[in-house]
Amino acid sequence: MALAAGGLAQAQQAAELAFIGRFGLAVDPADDGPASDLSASRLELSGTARGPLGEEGRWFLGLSGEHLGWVGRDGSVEATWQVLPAESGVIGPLGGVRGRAGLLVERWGRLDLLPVADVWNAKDLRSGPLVAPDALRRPTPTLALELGKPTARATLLWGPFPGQDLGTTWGTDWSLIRPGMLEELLADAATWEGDALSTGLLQQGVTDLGALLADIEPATRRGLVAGLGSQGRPEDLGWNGDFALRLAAEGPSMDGALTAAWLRSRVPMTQAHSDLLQYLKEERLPTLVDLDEGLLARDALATTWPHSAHIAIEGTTVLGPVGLRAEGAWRSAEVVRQPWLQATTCPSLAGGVGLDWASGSWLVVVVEGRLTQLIEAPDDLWLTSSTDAQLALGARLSLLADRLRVVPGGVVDVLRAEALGRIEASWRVDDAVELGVGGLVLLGPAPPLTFQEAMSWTGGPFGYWGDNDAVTAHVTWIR
Amino acid sequence: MPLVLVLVLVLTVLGSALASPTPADIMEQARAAQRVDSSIQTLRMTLISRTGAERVRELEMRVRKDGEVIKSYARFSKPSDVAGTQLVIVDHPDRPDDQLLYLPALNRVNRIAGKSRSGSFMGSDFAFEDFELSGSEGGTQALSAETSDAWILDVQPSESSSYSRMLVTVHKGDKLPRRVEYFDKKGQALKVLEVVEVSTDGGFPFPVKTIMRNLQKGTETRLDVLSHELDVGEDRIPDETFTSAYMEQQR
Repeated sequence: MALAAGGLAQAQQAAELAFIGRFGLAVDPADDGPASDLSASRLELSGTARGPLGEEGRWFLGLSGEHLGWVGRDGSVEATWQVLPAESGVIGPLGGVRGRAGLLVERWGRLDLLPVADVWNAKDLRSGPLVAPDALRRPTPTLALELGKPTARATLLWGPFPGQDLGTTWGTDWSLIRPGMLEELLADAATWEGDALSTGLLQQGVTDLGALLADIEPATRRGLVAGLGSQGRPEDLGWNGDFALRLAAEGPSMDGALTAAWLRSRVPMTQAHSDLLQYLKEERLPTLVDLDEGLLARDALATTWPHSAHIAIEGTTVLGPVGLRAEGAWRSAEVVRQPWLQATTCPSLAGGVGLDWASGSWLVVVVEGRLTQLIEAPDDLWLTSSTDAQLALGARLSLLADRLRVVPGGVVDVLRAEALGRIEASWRVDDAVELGVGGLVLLGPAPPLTFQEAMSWTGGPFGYWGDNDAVTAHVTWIR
Repeated sequence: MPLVLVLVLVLTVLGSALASPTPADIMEQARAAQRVDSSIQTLRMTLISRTGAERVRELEMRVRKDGEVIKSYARFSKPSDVAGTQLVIVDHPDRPDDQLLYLPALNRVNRIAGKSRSGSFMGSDFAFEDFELSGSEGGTQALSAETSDAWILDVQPSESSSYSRMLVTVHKGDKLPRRVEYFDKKGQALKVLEVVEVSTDGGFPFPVKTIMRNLQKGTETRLDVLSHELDVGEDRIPDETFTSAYMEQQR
């Protein structure tokens, strides 16, 4: 990006280099079955560099390599390595406006624990609530042009290649289909019956498929999941991307923003073939007539990535000793999940309020609440409901000159009586090394054990992944 | 003006008004000596625990004075895990200050409410209110003692302060406070600020090494000026520096 004079002044300074290595381990102490993981580990090596660009701009570059490992209760070991881009780009004056371009994180909204309006970047959901806050948002290609003054400004954003939420549909303890579920389903399905002809024909096929899945290499499975997860995505032509206009203003004691956007969904809208679903629900094989009528010729699972209009308003102020934050958002076509991996879209309205109380930098207490209302939603919803209410409480204590940090927190799903609790304590040994331990507790009804139970689950997400209670530990090396 | 100079100016304003027998003259002289309308400084903040273990933080401070309003911007560059953390304090003489805090992990600017000002600044032995000017108003002062080269002032700050009393030693030569003893609300000695080294730039004296000791915790924080530019002008520190929009762009 060509940078011209004008705009914000920037002190000349040398490039900053930073390197952080972090090894985290999560151990599930409960025996949740042979297919569940005993432990999951993540080694992240990330480097960042930043510095001035011209008189008044700056550049920043980040790269992160991560090694993920899982140890199953049966002793099986999986591991994979990948490089993930971190936020990288340039910021500076561009003609008469200010611009920024690159792989960027554009933080919208004011709520941290129960966000409503923070939707520009896709999320990393691979480890559920164990994802660190600074790793949650995935940088996405973005061009932003900002007009006006910092105190009253309009920003035009274009995200030509929107990302998708990073999660796995199948194969890990935080997947929608957890280890063992699909294999067990196919083992069962091999005993289902259709008509006299199809039973013989299909049972062997299902048996073979089950054997194939049971023997599939983890790397092949991950590739398969990644391929299926991207199914139906529009070509990256640029105009299939995201567009937004953001108006922001700030005064002495308050600030606010209004955002209007046209965004591609970060999660796919899947539609399984209705006949196929019927067989799964009734646990029977299709008849030869069904097959002859073209069942096999149709897509078993159609996937689309619909666009949605998004309008959000947000603001912050201070009321005496308390900081007040609020945001609300309307979406024209929110993708909502339905049982048996179905999904549909419906309008949604959501709002949230947050309160902060702090004492210096040693204690921060945060309370947030969020209410979500789906409009004209179907009756059968999965992992969500037409009305959702959640309450979150978090704190951050920095003790002993910031050497000891304790971060407890929790979220209560008010209408379902499910909850999540988490605590992490870290000890800064010196400037370069930090050690930490923590724990995660999920409360709710007994989680589903089979594919059928999972697909007809009527509870919320905390219950669904309720057997993922974990004890965590980490060591961080900072340069 | 830099963090250290803000501290010093607070104390000078407090102290010089009462440096009898001619407090008005002393105050005017002190203000004249401290008259820096803007500055950019790089500081090293060393946090020292009771056992002597040290942790180092580096930050850049930009301060601009617009009449009675003092605007401060700080951005941490070291260590890596706090790099990018930014703080803005706009100190108004007639109403509560505006304080903005940007945390890179949240990618968001937070407004800091009033109570937080009495707490520790980034884990150090400094409190946010140690950097405020307006917080010093509304109190009472008296000349406690006088030596050949210093006045010692007994200052009782306003009710909103977390301190009940401050003993300020002001050097008669350069009018810089050299030592401040802070007392908590129970009247117990809490902290001691000492200006260890003073330098001059264009005839303007300013502290380059300062130590704040917490007597109750046994910890201390050393503040060293690594580089400085004084009276840099508005083009180097424009109004935009003190906005959340600017902070968000300094990722």
